[in-house]
Amino acid sequence: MPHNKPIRIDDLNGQGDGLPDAQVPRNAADSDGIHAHTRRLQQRLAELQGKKCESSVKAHEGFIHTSRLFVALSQMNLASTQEEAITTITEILTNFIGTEQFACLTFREDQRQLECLFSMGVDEDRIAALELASEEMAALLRSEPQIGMSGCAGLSFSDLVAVVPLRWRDEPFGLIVILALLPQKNSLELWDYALCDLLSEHAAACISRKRIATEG
Amino acid sequence: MSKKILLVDDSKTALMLEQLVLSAEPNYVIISAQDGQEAVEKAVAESPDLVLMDVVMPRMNGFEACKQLRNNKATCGIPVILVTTKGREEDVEAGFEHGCSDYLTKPISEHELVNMVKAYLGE
Repeated sequence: MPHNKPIRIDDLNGQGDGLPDAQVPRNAADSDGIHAHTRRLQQRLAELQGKKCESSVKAHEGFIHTSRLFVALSQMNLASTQEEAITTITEILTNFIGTEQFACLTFREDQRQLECLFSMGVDEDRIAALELASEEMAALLRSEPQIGMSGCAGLSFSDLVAVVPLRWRDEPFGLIVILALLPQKNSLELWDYALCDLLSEHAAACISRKRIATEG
Repeated sequence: MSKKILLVDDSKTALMLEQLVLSAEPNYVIISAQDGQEAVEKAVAESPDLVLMDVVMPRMNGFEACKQLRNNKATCGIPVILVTTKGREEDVEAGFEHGCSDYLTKPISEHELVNMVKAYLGE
């Protein structure tokens, strides 16, 4: 049976043209109505094209952020010595997150004090100050591990960009303290937190495995 | 027609990411080098259509490599984009003084990177 039903824009794009049916001119002689309708359709088309561009940019950005996570994880797994593990974590922090100053502190054997395992761009006085406050930091992280603290309540470091707790085999292992971002990076974004999360879950294992391999 | 891009970075993570992003474009052939010295040698030997180069690298940094590429008759016409964490105004100025065609700061935006690469490759 022939399909006589007129095809509407709703049928073509599945979303409708955004115009109420009452506005669609039923009479071909109504040229004003047709022009008005054409203008509104053109407007709608421009809107849809804008949305298409926007979603294409979003899809591209989504691709690169997922790629970053993939590269970060695979490079952490590929590191075969502690030195390589540290290089990889440093590269993730600088190239992917946009960190200019950071320090990675790990627990000493007494599990109370933290000491600096490696850092970048942080002077010795600042590291010493971080180590001095580490007992308080460690207690805080044991009770409430969190990422992206903008300043630690109760600590004298109100200018920390983020604190990334590191865990290994469900135990606190240490933390990465981000003290400054690169000048071209204004603040941490949503995807940066995903990378911090990845570091939180895997950096400690990466360092530990490599430390055991290197020492052992 | 395929286009050859030379990626230069001593960071394995940065190199892998750029490779991954640009490999999504079907007509790009990617070659890589890990420092400025190797980049100059590969640029002479391979005549890439475009060079994407980091600045802070061992043996020879990106600024020096850029200058050498500009001073060599065989490579002076190859566009060089510096891709680096060094985003201060004086760094950008130094990059252009050493002859770079463009300057991109890390963390890279894929959209920006691909658009810039396409623009330099005339696409």
